[in-house]
Amino acid sequence: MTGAVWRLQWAVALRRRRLLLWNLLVPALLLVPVALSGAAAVHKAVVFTLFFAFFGAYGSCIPLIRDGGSGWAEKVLLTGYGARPWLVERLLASAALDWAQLVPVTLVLVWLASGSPTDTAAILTAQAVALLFANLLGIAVAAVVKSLAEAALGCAIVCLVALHLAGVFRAPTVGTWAETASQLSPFRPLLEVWRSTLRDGITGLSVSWLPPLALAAALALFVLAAGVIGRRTAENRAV
Amino acid sequence: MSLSPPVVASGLTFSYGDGPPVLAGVGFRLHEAEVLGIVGANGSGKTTLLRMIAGLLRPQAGTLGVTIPSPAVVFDRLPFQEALTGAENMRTILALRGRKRAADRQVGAGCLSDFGLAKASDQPVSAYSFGMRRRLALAEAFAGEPSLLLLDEPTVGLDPLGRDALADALEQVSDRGGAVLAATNDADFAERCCSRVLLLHQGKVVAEGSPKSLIAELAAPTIIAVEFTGPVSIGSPPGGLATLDVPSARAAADYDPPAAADTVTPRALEFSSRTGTAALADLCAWFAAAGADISSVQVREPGLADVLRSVAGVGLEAGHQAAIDVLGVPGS
Repeated sequence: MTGAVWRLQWAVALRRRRLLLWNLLVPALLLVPVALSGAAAVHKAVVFTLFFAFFGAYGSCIPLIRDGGSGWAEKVLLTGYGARPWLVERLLASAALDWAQLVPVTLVLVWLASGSPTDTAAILTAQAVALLFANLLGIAVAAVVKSLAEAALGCAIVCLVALHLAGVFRAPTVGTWAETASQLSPFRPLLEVWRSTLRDGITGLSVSWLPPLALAAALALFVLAAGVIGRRTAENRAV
Repeated sequence: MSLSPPVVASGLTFSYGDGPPVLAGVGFRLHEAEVLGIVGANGSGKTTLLRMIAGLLRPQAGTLGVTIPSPAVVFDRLPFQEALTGAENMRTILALRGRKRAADRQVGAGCLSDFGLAKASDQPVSAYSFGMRRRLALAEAFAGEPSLLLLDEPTVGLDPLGRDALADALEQVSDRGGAVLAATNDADFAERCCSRVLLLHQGKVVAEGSPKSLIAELAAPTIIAVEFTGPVSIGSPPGGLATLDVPSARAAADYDPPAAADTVTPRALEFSSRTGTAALADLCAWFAAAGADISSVQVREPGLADVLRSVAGVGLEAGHQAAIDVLGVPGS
């Protein structure tokens, strides 16, 4: 792993200024009205968490499908770079880019919620965890679908299921497997810090170390499977 | 120099799904310092063979040994990072190959220059024409002095200057001891640049040898094309022109009026000569005696394209075996 793919992802993102502008504007255009609305804090927190999850999953899946279809993925692998470092660097770069692009709107949202610097730090940290997980889901979807349409559908389904398991839409029943799943979900901390910041009756942060540990386990599994996933993605020639 | 050739293939067989075999027992060796052309009509299995050697497809039967890992390749699709410039794309590919030093960058810049992209190297690839993209892909492949190069239809989209650059680059690779496998249906390119040619037809190797030897083995005739200033009447050729194929003399231009071959009054005729240009003087004398006013005479020596036409055009259906017999393919 030499960092060539990481640097490439950043160089391309910074060069595509129009897309960069959209990625900065669209979150603001969608989320600021929600923040300014009279919606309940818990609903606002759900919308923010859902948006960030979708942003991350689509952001990693769609470009990967495109690169498979155009032959770029195949070209990279034929240089001998290796499917695993290519995909791992790509995941990290994509998640970092998503995080950086969402920082401005996040700061605005926290300011609108009269959040403290502690809230800001907690949200940005939880956001990094959630985005890394969402990007991971996006790459997993890219490995099994055959077209952009399938990718869009696949990301929506996978994200919604993952968010549901995180207890985003409905609090899981205490003492069930669903509660355990929600406590492990890397999306959970983001929901909780948003609820806390939006003063949803939560006092103090209840974020545990379990979700980051679960994410670390998911990442480890991903690294193990990245070779197969990468080759599978590169073989995906139909877009 | 390594002991084993860069590529050794034997009995390679491959089908897509339940379809007919695209490759049916292909075998060959690619040696160091060799430019081997895989020549064949569309659908003859060239690209499949290249993709197999690149490691993108696995043979369903046969053995394939490739001693050089990660060969440089240029396939039919030309993917680039469109937002980046040509030079940035080149640096990216070199970095992916683990070559990030200043010297490597200079090599990359040199290759861009060799392929006529020095001025355009600072433009984003999205502004490149198809021919420029082909040049960039070739420049990327040749940068970093590859020991094994796989090229799929490398001349598509190239102008004469680009073809010259490609020929020079291939010569340099060969001089350095590198091996090149170029799949093409561009017979002129194969004749010019390939030291050896593998003729592929319907997934089988039907001929192998240097371009010159293949042309000689086929014994393709020399074509003599004669144009007249106006319609003329010609009769049977004199005895001295017995070796001339008159007309197979397929009239290249309009007949006026249509008539049997030996009494046509054409404005242009093509003759097939199996004695080269030896018949040219007698031919001109014949027309002079007939009162025909010749405006031009063109002689076209047979080329690899004629060999390809012979195999692909005559085809399996009618005279494939005859063509193979002419080519003298062992084991066919």
